[in-house]
Amino acid sequence: MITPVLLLIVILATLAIYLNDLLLGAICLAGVSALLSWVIYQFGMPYAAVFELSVAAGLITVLFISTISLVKPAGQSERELGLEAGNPSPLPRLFEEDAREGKALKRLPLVVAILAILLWELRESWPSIRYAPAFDAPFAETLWHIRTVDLFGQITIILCGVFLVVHFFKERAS
Amino acid sequence: MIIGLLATPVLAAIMIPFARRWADYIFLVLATILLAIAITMVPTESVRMLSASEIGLPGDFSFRIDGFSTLMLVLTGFIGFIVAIFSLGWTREYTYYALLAVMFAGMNGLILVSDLFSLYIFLEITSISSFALIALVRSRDGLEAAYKYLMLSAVATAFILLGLFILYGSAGSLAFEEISRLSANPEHAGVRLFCLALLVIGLAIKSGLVPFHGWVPDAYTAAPNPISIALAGIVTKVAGLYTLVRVTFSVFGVTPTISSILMVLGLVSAVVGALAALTQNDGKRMLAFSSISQMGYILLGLGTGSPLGIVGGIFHLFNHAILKSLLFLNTAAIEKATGHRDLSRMGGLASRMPVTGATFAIGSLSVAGIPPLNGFWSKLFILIALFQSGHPVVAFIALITSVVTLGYFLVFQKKALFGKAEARFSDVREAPLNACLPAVILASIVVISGLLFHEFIDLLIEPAANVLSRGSGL
Repeated sequence: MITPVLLLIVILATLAIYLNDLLLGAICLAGVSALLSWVIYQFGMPYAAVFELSVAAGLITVLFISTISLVKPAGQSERELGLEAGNPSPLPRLFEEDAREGKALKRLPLVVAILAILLWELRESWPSIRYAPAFDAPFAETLWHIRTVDLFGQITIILCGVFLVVHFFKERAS
Repeated sequence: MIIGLLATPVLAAIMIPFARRWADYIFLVLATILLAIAITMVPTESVRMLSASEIGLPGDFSFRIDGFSTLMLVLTGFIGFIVAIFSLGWTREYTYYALLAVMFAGMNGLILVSDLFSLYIFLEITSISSFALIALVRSRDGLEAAYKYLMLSAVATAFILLGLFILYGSAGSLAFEEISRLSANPEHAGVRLFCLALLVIGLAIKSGLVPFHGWVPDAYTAAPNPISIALAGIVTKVAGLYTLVRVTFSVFGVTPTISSILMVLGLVSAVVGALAALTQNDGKRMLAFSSISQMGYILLGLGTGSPLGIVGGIFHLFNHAILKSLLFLNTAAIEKATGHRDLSRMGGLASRMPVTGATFAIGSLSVAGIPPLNGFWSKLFILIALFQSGHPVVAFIALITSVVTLGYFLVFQKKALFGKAEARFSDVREAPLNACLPAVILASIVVISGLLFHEFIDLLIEPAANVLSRGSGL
């Protein structure tokens, strides 16, 4: 079960890098974090799994999506930065051309194939890695009863993220 | 009581958006409550472990209360109180107060927890709320400083997490006592040293020690003034230095190798910070480098590992928290009065702002180690401890660095406060009450804790130093 999930993580992570749409990229990254938290749990580290799920998959995604929605349209930003046609910066143009021609996505299957071969080659190593849960307690038990203080901490982190997002959205609206 | 230290700030943060007009007063009440709770814990001679069931909570965790954590709780509460008074006249923006409340919840949690994973979580709460507060004004400098702090903090987090993963794999737990047991086993010496190195690098970044100090001058300078006071006064002390000292002394135990690492970090920070401060023309930036230098002194004292050195280090930590809050507060008042922080465009302000001028003089002389102020005693203890522990060269360099400290503060005073009053500052008036009152309170503490240093050390510093002198475990 763990190998297909790892493969899915690799595909989603690669998509997060190659997609031109930042919003879709952020969602892919959230998917990576959510699957990774399941893998971490399977490896017997429920604390880290809970943290990864709530903070990386939850809060960080909210922050990414908020930031993306705060960014001005590309044309406007370029004008402000003096990157119009007469004053091009080579680096953005390189990515721009890549994006226009769809080269980035064309390379995706190749990257996935290389990573899949690597994973397949490493399959012999899997038995040596212990991935049976080290705790008998189920996920909910760990979250609500064993690590209550960490849960409190995570709620506080999310609260902090909410205030930040509210502040920036409010400024943007005004 | 302990739950109050964690739950009250979070409840206040939740309440503030529903009572936005009263946000500043809610935070002032919160800071007063936190300070009152912390004071009720003094004096703390023994180490107490309070399990979740003892305080009526579900879960399998415990809080640790000892002299060191009590001292830090009192300091956190006190600086929170000072920031709350100063903020009354600064802003009514409710998200600012809500984030401040979250930051204080993070620091209190960081001080109280007794396992490394919970410590990591509260460290992140403190750091994330700090980035948010630095970036809150959305100025170009503020955003750049917050971004720099965020990036370096992410690197620090990576080091700390990697260290925790390996420790967890070796000890099967992240509780302080379990790690102490692992440290006592010579078979695990290699793992212990590797993990400790990772944690020290991560926490040195959070403390802003040289050579990991890149974020400090920008963050202290660009942050809103009350946040500069909180950052220099308490945040880097708790999130960086307290955690570093707790991990090295109470969890891993001090060995000659660890002692040497702390002393090297301390010496380099003290010297580089002081030399860099000497060349600054921006008041806040000078104080930022001075802060790095004084953090170095604290580590020098603690690095000796001797009882006197530990007392000196802890006393200097306390003094530095009070002194840097005072000096940043004065600089904020000067900036508000003149509209800038450029020392070369100031002069004669002490005649227009007598309270600010007098309290700044007290604070800066104390940082430079002039008797009988509190900074003199803590530096004296550190220097004697360095001599006694067989480091006369280090002690001599520390002494010279102290002279450099006096030099840059005299330059600050000469350029900004004394000399001929310039005509363009004829409209400048003394800072308002919300800036003068905390400055007078802080300056009074500097004088009183200097004159009555013996009583002060008995009450607050020695219980904290005893915890560290006892070494790892309970």
